[in-house]
Amino acid sequence: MSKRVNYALFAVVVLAALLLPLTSNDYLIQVATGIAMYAALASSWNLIGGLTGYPSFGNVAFFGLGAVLAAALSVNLHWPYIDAALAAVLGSGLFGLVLGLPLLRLRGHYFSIATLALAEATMAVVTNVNFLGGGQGFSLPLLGSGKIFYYLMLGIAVLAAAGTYLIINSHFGNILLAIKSDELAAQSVGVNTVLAKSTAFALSAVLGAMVGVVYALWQSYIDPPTVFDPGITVFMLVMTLMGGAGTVAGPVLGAVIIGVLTQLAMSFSKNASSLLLGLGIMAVVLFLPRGILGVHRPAKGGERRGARPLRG
Amino acid sequence: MHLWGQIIVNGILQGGVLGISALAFSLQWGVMDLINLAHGSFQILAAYLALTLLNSLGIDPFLSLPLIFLLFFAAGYLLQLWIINRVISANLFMTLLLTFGMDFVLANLMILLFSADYKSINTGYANASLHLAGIELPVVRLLALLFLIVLSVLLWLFLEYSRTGRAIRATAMERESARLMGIKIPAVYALTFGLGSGLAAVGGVFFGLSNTFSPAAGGPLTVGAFVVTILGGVGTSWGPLAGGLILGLLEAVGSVVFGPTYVNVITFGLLLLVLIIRPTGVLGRAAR
Repeated sequence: MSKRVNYALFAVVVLAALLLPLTSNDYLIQVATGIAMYAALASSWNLIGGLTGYPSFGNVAFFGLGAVLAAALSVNLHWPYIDAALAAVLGSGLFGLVLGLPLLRLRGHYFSIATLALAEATMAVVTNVNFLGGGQGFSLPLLGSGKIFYYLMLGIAVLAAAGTYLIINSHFGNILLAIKSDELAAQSVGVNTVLAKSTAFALSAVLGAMVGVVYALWQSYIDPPTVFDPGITVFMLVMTLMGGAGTVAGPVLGAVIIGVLTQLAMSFSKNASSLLLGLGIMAVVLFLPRGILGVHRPAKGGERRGARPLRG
Repeated sequence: MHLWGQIIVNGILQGGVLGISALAFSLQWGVMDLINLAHGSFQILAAYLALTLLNSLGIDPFLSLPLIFLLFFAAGYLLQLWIINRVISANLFMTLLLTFGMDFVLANLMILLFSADYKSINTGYANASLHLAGIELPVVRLLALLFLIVLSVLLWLFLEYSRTGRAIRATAMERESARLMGIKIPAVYALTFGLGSGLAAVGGVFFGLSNTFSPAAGGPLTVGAFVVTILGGVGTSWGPLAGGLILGLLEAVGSVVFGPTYVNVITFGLLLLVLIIRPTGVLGRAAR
């Protein structure tokens, strides 16, 4: 597709999304808010997992930390929520940057597990710190209309997609691509891979935390098991891979498809909806291994594997 | 004094249950570079199977153990041969996603079949204990540790000295060279996953005998196997034993010193530390 067609498609999708609340169907708006939220989260995961090729299993840490920090600052220190949200987003970004430095030295499975452990450790620490709500969590004041959260989530999703587009077409994006293809080669021509990877991780953290601070206000009640649910990370990953890792529209498309499929499965059978979703994920892996938009080969996680079929 | 003795014994015995669970996980990871996210659900399914056999046919879990092992071995063998082998040479996201999908399917299938309630396998000896110098030794956990040691020895003997075991090790070291030596890689992978599934099922029955469980218990079991495997070192025969004992002891002592809510801080903090400082684990070889 030419660039012009892409821009036109982008404009049509955003316009349609902006006009959706005109239907004023509360159920529809709620579902759409969830889809926009996951589109933003999947796009944030795409920065580290898709563009850089580091299979993070702990991105929910940033989402949860953003939500908990914003709630803690506004409830315990009575900061205005905007200030609390800003501080939470910056704090989470810094957290990502600092922890990225040691964690991004690991590759493949080891990076996956380290990030999983990071998310679990963050949840465990939050659960034990009273200032951060402990095990009880926080109740936040209810805000009237659901539409405002829809627009906020949509805004973050658009920001994430636009940011991804700008990064892919920048020098920074080329560095990330080089790291994904062959990190050693990138290093040997003088690229500061550590800085680039950590920046990508921190940007991913900032976007995840932005979604988190909006989520806390949207749900008005948060506790550690909800905002640090490892399943949230897995959904970011599944949606991105389904749509196409390393592309701009892939994570968004994946979020829409999984979001709609979940609703369909729920209406088909409430009890078996998760089971159907699991079968759907398996089907994607077996029949659509490169994602719907996956022109490029998806991120290469471990350098030891080729894409050759297993031969006897 | 007795208090600390008891705490340390509890930790060691908990290590046995953790270690059996990690034996399978470590084998699959070491040989195939495969992380089986459905590992915990396999275990819980085995526990439900043992429970069903006990309740409906009155077969004691220790008698049904060989049957359950064989059943899971066969299912795992076919699963690898027909499904997982199709994506195992693609990048590692694919196997992670596939096994995650399997986990989702299994966990939700178990909720439909057995409900989400907590269950336990009530045998006559489930709560029996031996007493030695004032220290209580629960029989089931003692047996779990014994099984872990015996299974570790058997696995080591099998991998080290049998022809098939050598083929498995050769495949783990250098797949392409192994293929050139005439080893049938898909069959070795199927055998490894089958063996892993069987061992996971044995671990699951022990978990069911010594804990209450529900379909949701699979996730934490997988994470526990992760931690033990990393602590002990991936793909070593003795790693799960060492990792299980280390984690069991640390959790038992840590929960007394810092309080039970800090167990996860210790577990995952330790995991992060080990990964950053020594990613090959305590018994692991130099990084590949």
